[in-house]
Amino acid sequence: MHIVATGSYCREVSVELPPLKALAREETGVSVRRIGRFVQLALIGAGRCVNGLTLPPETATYFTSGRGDLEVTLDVLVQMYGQGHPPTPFSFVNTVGNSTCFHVAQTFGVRGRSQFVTSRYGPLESVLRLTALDMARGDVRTALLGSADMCTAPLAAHRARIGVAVDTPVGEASHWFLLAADRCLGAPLGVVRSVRSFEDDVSLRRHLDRLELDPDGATLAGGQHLGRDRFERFMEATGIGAVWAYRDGLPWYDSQAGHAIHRFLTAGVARTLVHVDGDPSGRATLMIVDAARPGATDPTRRLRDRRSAR
Amino acid sequence: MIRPCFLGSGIATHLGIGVEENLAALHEPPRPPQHLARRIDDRVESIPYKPLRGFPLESAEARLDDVIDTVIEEALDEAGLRPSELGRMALFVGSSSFDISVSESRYREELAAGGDALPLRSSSFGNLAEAVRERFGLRGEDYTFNTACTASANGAWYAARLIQNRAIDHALVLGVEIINDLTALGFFGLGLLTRSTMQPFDPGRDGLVLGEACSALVLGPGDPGRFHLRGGANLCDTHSMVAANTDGSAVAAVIDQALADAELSASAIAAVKAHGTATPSNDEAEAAGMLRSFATVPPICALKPFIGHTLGACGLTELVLFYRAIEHGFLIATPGIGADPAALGVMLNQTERSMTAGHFMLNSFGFGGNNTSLVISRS
Repeated sequence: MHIVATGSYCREVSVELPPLKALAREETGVSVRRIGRFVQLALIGAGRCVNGLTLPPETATYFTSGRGDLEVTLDVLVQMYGQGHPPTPFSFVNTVGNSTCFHVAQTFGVRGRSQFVTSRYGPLESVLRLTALDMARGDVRTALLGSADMCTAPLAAHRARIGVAVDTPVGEASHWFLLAADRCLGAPLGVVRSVRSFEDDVSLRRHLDRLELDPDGATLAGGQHLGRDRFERFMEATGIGAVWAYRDGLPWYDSQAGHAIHRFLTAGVARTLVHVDGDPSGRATLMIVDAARPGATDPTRRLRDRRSAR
Repeated sequence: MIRPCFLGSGIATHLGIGVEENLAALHEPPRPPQHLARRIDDRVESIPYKPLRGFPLESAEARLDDVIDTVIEEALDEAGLRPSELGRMALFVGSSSFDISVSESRYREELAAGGDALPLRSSSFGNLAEAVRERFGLRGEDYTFNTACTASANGAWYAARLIQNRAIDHALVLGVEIINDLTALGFFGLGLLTRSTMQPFDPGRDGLVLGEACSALVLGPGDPGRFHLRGGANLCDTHSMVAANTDGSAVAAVIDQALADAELSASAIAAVKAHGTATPSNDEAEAAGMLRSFATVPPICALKPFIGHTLGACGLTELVLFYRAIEHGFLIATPGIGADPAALGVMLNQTERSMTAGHFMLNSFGFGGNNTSLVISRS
């Protein structure tokens, strides 16, 4: 599965929620009406990823989020129980997770399959795995895949709701990838070699042994739910000495693995990213992404360069 | 490629608890809906719905856990997997509202108690799957689908695909929808609720009745004589967030793609389980889509008159009711409902027909233009 382009938005929220509407309009080139901050957030990342390309109409849309549009759901609950008002039709339909898929598909003119898939401890991994399945089966040739996770005010309540400590930096992020099963959209930035889940660390370590990874060309990164002890045992098992602490300085949100792939592809970290994560019950996940050989070009980069030159 | 067979199923709906009780009730005419009284602004409105039978509306959390455990245990008992297979089994959860009924209940209690009330304490979509994994000792991968009324159909479809590709051995698919104020008042606000009863494809149709349901299906390799999920398709219709294109083009596209995926011609389909929401425009779109795809439209049945619209759970719940009915030798009928083809060009099956095998299409369409069509088969 080729990653042809990537776009990202990630910002720590420390006081007030930043307005996103103007940025969404700027990044998509479309004046989007009657959508809330969550869909705006998703469109910003998606717009940066697509960056003016015309996508094949059969392009699929895959989306994930840990908690979806918290803002609109909270607003509806407070309205119903605090003020006795029913949800407006606009609010109600936006509580549906795949309303974001609809807006993304409509904005970028695609009508392929559309899925909102998530998992408590690996939202991005879950949707990436099913996308890889669809592409491996030959059912989907091009896809937009992304995540969005938002904050709500007040931040103290948000931290309580998502279960992080009162001093944990929290943020909003949207990470998107334009994927292709082959080179139909041009040379890739990278290739998703593997995305899998394992029932325990031993199974994952056994799998890593069989892969015969090149320890000199790879970097190992640990996800947001993996403790230090478990991560160090994976380091030992893989023999990969280069550790990439991509989460340093990153505010907390649910789909941080998206940031890992985005940064890996845009920052020239190593030839191969080996990303491991785990959940509190001891299950583990693995993502392996290979960066393209030198000379690979992001087809949207030309458009970006042209735009920034203006 | 491995054939993903239906190894066991469990179900709880307005018709009853368990497969046998549900099947028995399908031989009777649909019961009229019950009504929830809800204060909306300065008046009290009546929301038609079909609650779970046998699970009284008491503690929201205990009720949710109880119904989920009941249907999963029924499905697992029938599947008879070994403990090692159970441990590795993957979990697929499809719902529109997950545990929002529990969140609402807690918030109401906190408001009533005064002080600081925090709405939506349980905010992760994946919490329900985590709770199920923990209670049943599942250590396989898990996926939670939130694609409105297609959620559990999509879950079943991807479970089957992962099995076909040998990525997993067995899957437990769960569809769950429990009544909650957000959904009830949201549908009321959209003007999609009936003032009488649910009558899909009927000239007198005027909207839907909400329903509660929980269903579970165990998928895995099985004997050739078993029902299996043969193929399917999912497409996004960007015509409208809440309504399908009434020309039927989007519905026909997903039906055609599902037939191609199943490597079947339209004429091979013995019967169709329609989505059939009984809303004027969605039934119009679905009928137009079927007329485009089928030169001769096969017998059509609709299950929502019996159980209401169970939203995210409807794809799986209706699949379970449908295939178990065929296994028991009959195609479900809705006498007097959708009997007149004059308006939409299609009609619902009016009398129970004897049917035990064949290829069947099951359609689900959801908000956000999410359209899913599945093909199941039994030889």
